[in-house]
Amino acid sequence: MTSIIQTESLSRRYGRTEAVRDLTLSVPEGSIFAFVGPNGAGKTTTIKTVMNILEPTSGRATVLGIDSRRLSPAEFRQIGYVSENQEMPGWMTIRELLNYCAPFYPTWDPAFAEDLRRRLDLPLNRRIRDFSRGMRMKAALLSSLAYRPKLLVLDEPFAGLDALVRDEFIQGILELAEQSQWSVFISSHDIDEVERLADWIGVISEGRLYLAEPVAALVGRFRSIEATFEGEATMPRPLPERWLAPEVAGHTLRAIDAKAGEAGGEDRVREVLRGAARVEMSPMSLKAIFMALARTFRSASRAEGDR
Amino acid sequence: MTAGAVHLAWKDVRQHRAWLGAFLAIAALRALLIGSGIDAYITNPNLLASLGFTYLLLCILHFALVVVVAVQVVQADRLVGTTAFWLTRPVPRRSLLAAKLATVSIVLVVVPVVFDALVLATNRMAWLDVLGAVAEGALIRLAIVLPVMTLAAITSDLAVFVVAAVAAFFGTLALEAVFQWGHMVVWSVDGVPARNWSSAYSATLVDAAVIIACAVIALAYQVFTRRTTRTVLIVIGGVTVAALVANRWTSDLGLMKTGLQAGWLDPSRIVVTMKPLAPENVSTTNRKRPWLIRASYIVTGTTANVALVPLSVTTETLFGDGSREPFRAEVQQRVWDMLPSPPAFLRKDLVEALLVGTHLVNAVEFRPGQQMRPIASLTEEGHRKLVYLGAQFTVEVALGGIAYHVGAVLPLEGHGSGAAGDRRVSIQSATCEIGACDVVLRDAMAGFLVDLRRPSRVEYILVNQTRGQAVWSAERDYFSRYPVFGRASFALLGEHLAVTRRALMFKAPDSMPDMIDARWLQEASIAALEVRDIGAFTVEAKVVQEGRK
Repeated sequence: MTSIIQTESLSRRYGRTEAVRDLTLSVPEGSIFAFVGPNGAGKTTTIKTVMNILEPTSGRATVLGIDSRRLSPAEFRQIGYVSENQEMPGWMTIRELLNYCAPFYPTWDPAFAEDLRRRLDLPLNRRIRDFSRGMRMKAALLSSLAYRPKLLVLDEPFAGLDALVRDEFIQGILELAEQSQWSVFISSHDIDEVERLADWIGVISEGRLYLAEPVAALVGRFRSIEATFEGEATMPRPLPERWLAPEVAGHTLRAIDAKAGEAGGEDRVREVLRGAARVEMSPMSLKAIFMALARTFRSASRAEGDR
Repeated sequence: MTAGAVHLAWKDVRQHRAWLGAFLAIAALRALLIGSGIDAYITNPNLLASLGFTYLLLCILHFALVVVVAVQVVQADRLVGTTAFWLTRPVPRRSLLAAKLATVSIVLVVVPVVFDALVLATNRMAWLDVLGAVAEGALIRLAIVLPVMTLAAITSDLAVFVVAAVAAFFGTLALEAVFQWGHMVVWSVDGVPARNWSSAYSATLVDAAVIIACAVIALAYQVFTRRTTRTVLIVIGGVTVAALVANRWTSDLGLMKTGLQAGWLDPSRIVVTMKPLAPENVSTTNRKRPWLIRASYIVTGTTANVALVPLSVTTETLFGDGSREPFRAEVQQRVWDMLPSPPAFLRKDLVEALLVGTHLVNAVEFRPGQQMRPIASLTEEGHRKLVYLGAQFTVEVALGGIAYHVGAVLPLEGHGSGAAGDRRVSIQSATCEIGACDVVLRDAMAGFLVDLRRPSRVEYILVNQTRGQAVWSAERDYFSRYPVFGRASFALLGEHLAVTRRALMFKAPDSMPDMIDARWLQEASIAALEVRDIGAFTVEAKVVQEGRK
C-alpha cells in the first residue's frame, strides 16, 4: 500500500501549547481518508503542517513522497486544497478565478471546469466576495478540482454549510471520486459529514492520533454490548482493555468492545460476561463509534493532564 | 521575468487598478502642474495661494498613494499567516517576488520618473542632467518604496502596517539615540552639521543603496521562508547598517566642472599670484616706517560677479639667520558679513560696486618683533601690505568664494516681471508708508533649472536710482536637498510652486525713518541677487624681496 500522505512523529507547538503530538499517520493512495476529531483536536494544524503552511516543530511529513518542507509548485500542481480558513480572492468573479488559476496547472481542463461549475451551480460573473459561505467553498472546490489533482485535501469543508449545499458538495466529491483515481484527505469535527464519503478514518484528539484504519474494519470490529444480569450487574475485573465507556445501571451492564467484531471476539466477550443472563452485541454506526472514542480519548487526556 | 511572474503581476495590476489609476493620475497631474509653469501667468494672489495648496495636496496624496499601493500590492498575496490563497497553489516564490517587485517598481518608480523626465526634457534640461535626475529619482523612490514593501510583507493588513510603521519609526529613533550616545554616527559632512540625506551626495547614494539592498534581502527572505521573526531581525540589521554607514563616504558624484552655469565662478580657474613691488615703487614706502614695504598681488581668473573672501592666511618667514617663523591667521569672514545687516541702507556706490564687481582684499601687516596680523578691509585696489625684514615669505591664502547672479532691475510700478537670477520674478504689489514698504513678489523660478549643488540664497535690493539709495532685504536661504547625480533632481521640481510667493519688507533705518515714502517708492526698482557659496580653495604665492632696514 502506497501512502500519499505520511507523517512520522509529527509535532507542532504554538508557544507552550502542543497542538499536534508525535503524530504518525499514513494515508493510503486512492483512499478517501476522514480525519476526524473534536474542535481543537489538531486537525487543521496537522493539515497545515502537511501542506507546508506551517513548519513542524519536530518529526516530518511527506506528501506524494516529498518532504512537506520541500513541497514545490510541481507537487502543488497535483494537490487540491480547500479549507474553511483559506482566503479566496474576493475581488474576482468565478470566470476571473478560473482564468487566474488555469495557467498554474498544465492539467487544467477548461471543459471539466465548466462542467463542474454548472454542477456546483456557480454563477460565472458574480464576485466571490458577494457569495455566501457555501458558494465560496464551492468556488474553492471548483478551483481545486478543475486540474484533476492526485490528492484533494479538504479542511473542514462543511463547516457552516447548510444541509443542501453540504449534500451537493459531498455528491460532487463522490461523483468525481468515482471518475478519477484520486486520494482525498478530509478533516471534520462532525462524523456525520464524512460518514458517506470516507473509506478510511483517523481519529485525533488533543493533538494525538488514536486510530487510523479502514472504515469497514473499524465498523466491523466495534460492537456495543448490553448484558443483563439476574442480580445487580457488576463491572468485570480486570476490565478488558478493548472496552470503552463501560457503565453499570441496575441489572444492566453496557460497554463498547473495540474488537468484538473480530474472529473469536464475541466469544471473548461472552467469556468475560459469563455470569450474565443475556448478552447482546450489536454493530455500531461510525458516528456511535466516533462518539465513544472521542469521549474515551478526552477522558484519558484529562486524566493524563491531572497527573 | 518569467511568464508566471507576469501572470501574477497582471493579477495585481487588475486587482488594484483603482488605486494604481488614482496614483498615476496624481503623479501625472503633479508633473503637469510643475511642468506647465502655469503659476507664472497667474497674477491673482488668491489663485496662486490656491495653486500652492493644490500642489501641496497633490504631494501629500502622491506620497500616501505610494505607501498604500505598495502595501496593497504586497499584501494581496499575504506573506504572513496561514490563510493566503497562494500558499497551496503552484506559485513559485521567485515568481511571486519578481511580480511584486516588478509591479511596484514599474508603477511607483518607473512611471513617475518618466513623467518627471518628460517635464525636465520639455523644460529643455540637458539630457545628461535628465539622466542624473532620473537615476536619483529612481534611487530615492526605491529607497522609500522597498522598505514600505518589506514592512507590508511582515504585516497582515494596512491597519497593522500603520502600527508597525509607527513602531519602526520610533524604533529607528531609539536606535539612533543609542548610536549617538556611543558616538557611532557621523554628524557633520562637508561642514554641514546636519545628519541627513542632504548633507552629501555620496552619503545619499550609500544610504539609499544600503536601504535598498537590505529591503530586498528582507523581502526575499520573507517570501521564501515566511519566517517573520527572522525577517524583522534582518530589517533591524538593515536599519543599523544604514545608520552606521551614513555620511562615512562623502564625495561629490556629479561633475563639478559642469556643475556651474555660465557666469558662475569656477574655483579651479582662480589663480592668485603675489609679486613684489617694482624697485621704482619703493618710494611709496612709508617714510616714517621705512621697513614697511608694500607688495601687491594680482587676482586673476575671476569673473565680475564673485567675491573672494580670505578664510585664512598662512605665512612662513625665512630670516637671514636661517630661522623660520610660521604663522597662520584665521580670518573666517564672509563678504556679506561685512555689509550692514539687512535690512539696512546701502550707499549707492556700494550697491553699484556690488553689482558691478567686487574684489575683496585682505591686508596683512607685519612689524618687527610682532606677529603678523590680518587686517580685514574692503578696498577696490587689490593691495596687500606686507612688512618684512630681509626675509623671504611664502604665503598661502585660503579663499572662500561667494558668487552671485544679478537679476534684472524691475520697476515696482506696473507690476513688472523679469528674470532675477534664475528666477522668473514678478511684482505683485508694493505698498509704502513712511519708514517701510511691503513688496510682494512672485517667484516663479523653475527650481530644477537651477544648479543647487551649493547652498544659495536670494538677496533683494530695493534701489532708488535717483536718490542713490538702496535698502537691502535678505531672503531666506535657499537650501534644497542637493542632487545626487549632476545638477538636477526631482526634489527641486516643485520648488517654484512651493515658494511661489514672497512677501518682503524693506524698512528704513531708525535714524532715517522718513527716507522711504510713497514718492521714494515710485522711483524705486528691485534687483535680486542669487548668492551662492562656491566653496573654499587654496592658492599659494611666494614673495621674495630683499629687505631693507
